[in-house]
Amino acid sequence: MDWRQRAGREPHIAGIRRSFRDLEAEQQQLLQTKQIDAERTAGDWVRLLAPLAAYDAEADKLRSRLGGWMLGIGIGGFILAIIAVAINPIAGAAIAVAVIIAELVLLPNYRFTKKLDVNRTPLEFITGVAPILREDCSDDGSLHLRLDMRGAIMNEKETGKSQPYSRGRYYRIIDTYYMDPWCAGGAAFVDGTQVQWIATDYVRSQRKTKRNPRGKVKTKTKNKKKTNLDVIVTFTDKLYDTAEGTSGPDRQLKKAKVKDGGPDSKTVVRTRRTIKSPSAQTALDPRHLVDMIAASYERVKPTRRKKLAG
Amino acid sequence: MTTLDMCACKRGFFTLRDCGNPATTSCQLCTRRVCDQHLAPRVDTRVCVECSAKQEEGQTPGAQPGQQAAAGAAGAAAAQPHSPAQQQAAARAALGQPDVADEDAVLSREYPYRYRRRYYSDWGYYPWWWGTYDPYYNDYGYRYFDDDDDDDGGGFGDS
Repeated sequence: MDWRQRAGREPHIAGIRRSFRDLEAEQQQLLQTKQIDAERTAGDWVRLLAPLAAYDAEADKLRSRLGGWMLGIGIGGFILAIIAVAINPIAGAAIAVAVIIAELVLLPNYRFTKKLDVNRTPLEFITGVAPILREDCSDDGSLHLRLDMRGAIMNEKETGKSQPYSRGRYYRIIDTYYMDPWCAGGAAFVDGTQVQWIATDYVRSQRKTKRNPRGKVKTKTKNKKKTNLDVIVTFTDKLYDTAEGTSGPDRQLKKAKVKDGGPDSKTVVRTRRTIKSPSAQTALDPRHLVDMIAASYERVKPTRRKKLAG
Repeated sequence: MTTLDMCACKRGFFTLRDCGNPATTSCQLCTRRVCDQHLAPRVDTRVCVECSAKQEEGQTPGAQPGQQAAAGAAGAAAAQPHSPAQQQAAARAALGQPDVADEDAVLSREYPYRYRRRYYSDWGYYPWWWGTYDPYYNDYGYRYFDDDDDDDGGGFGDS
């Protein structure tokens, strides 16, 4: 069955391994390494990444379901086994064995999906933005991308840890900070403009502990994410020059810097936008990158009349 | 003057330029000559991707905020997305972005044209024009090179 047909269906335990096998060798490898640094056409990027996004969505759905089942079977089986032991020890033992078998059947599938889980944000971002950038690149124009789909919460990406502090009912709070540059890319447009961007997530993971009135210790972890999107657009001096002002609406940029070395040198526009997300899982809307490139084009003006095609 | 039968569609998002491909057919809506790449995937009609985007503009929620407001508060509340993922999906749909799992839709030639049209009107962007003049794009509000010396011989200057 085609992955596209499966994408809309409810996930199936046996089907997830088949879905993985249906992916091409490069896609399977990418799910394992979770990183890629390559140059290819926008269409090729979408063809590579869109099936991965569909697979990961299916696997995530299945894993959360498996987790629920395993927890339910574990708790329900434990209670049932205790009751059954009181009535008939053999029945109790049979229930316990059945529960263990069920858990052993579900666990490998859970681990399989967990091992191949990727951060879907880069996949969704690129599949949204690549077809748009393709329009400004020539047919054989390529996109250079460096994607990291491992997620932000990992030791390698940790940038700092706060000293334990208390606030309100929480007597111990530790903040851990992570920096995750998950997508860097570059493209050359037909009009000679060069676009480079980097999207970096800054995650604050707050682990806080409190004691409830019954004396029970409870700990919870909250993640907050802020994404910085930095874009550098370099305009060729043959076609563009710096404009006196900005011609578009306020695009809510945190930083917008125009470097103009004179009439015969390139105009470089650097922009930054900060996007706050309620959770670490929220994907970045491709419109942010489109907005920032648009804002750069609003800071230049053409220097001559010319017809471009193709 | 160009005598070649070239595609009338404009390529590009931030700037607009001529397609450059030879035309193979005519759009049944705008009657312009277009190439195979700029033909929307329709079964029974031949429509260019730009006319298709124009047609679809009014069909997706978010494309015409006025219509959405008129839909009624009750209906709007029922359809309101709650989770961040739902809100994001709604925002993507409003800009004409397809579901990421639908590779055909993402790779479709129509998608960037649909997105382009929505983005220009919703986010106030005027692309730079590097193509041949075509009155079809008059409602786009594009920007072009304005040569100050153009009105040299206008006849309204000092005598």
